[in-house]
Amino acid sequence: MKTRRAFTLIELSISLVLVGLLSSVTMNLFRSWNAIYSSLTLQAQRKMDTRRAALRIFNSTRGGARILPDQRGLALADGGQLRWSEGKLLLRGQSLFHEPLLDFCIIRRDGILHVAFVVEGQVVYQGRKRALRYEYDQGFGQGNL
Amino acid sequence: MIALALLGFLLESQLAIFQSMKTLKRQLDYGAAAHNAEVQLKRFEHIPFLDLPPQVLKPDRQGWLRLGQLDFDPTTLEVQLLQGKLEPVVPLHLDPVRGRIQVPAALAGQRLLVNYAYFACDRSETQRVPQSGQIDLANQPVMRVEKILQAHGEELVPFQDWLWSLESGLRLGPSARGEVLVVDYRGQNVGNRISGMFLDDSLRRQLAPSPLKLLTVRELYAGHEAFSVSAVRTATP
Repeated sequence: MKTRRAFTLIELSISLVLVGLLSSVTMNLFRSWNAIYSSLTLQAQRKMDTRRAALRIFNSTRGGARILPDQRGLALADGGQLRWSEGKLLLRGQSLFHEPLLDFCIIRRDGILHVAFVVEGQVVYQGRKRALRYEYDQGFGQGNL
Repeated sequence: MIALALLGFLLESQLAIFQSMKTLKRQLDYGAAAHNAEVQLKRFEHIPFLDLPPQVLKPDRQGWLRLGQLDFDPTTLEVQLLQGKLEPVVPLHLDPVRGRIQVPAALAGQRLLVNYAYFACDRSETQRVPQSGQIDLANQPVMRVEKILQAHGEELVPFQDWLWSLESGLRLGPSARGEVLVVDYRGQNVGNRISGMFLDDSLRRQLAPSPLKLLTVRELYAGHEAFSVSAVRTATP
């Protein structure tokens, strides 16, 4: 009688269980890494956007500017205005930032303008959830917190 | 076998994502370090030349010396007696938090050359205080809050209604709510370690005091050095 070589039911079951376990581990890894990757990509994007906005603000103050009392805007020497209101940051009526901006403040220290943006989105940083915040100084190359 | 090959492929793609993630994180950290370094260089302009390391100091009657900067790194401390040839002096007590050291009282009134590196505060973090009265500083854990300023349009005035301790963190009084505060503090995750040396007229290192100092800012991330930048300060502006 001719014998056939094949896997036994037990062997197949063990293989399926192992594959299932490995898949589950891989999927969990995929989810967590993907979440962190998306968060870092979002941070990089927001940093670029806020940095561009900061540069436009600093350029607009070349003729002189006065900080508004609530620290949420500037009165420019040419009569124009920078103003944060209801999630939008407007420079001479033009929006500087497409995404909702949760808060914005501007100060002057030792003659240097300093702007701080709080952007929508949360990141896990050093084990704590926090809003995305970026700060820039006039005349400095880069900056973020 | 096919299933294992597929799993291997999945795992490999995840490793690629992990690598990209690490690169992005490094870029973000580098940005923060670059900013910090520039801020520190700018800050040197506002610190008197004599208060930057290395310093020439005279101990009081008990032998205490007050350094120009707080939070010095004890491993970098060098004390020498300025009397003809430089002679090393062994300090009796070190108090990095208050920026003090004690040498033998017999040296009271004598000129000592003290060189050290110190951890500078980040300058600064600007935040509008929410109604909860709590702000979340970026560089955790916070090791020291140096000062807090309150913004009023163009003006910055000292803000007094706060308490900080290593255990309970920063607590702001009710008057802070809704106000824009500027917090100068030192956190542990990102460190600015500043060291200095005297230079001669040819910009070469010299041990004896001179009117030229080379100051170096080293940016540290969780114990790793990111990079360093240097600046030369002169005794007269």
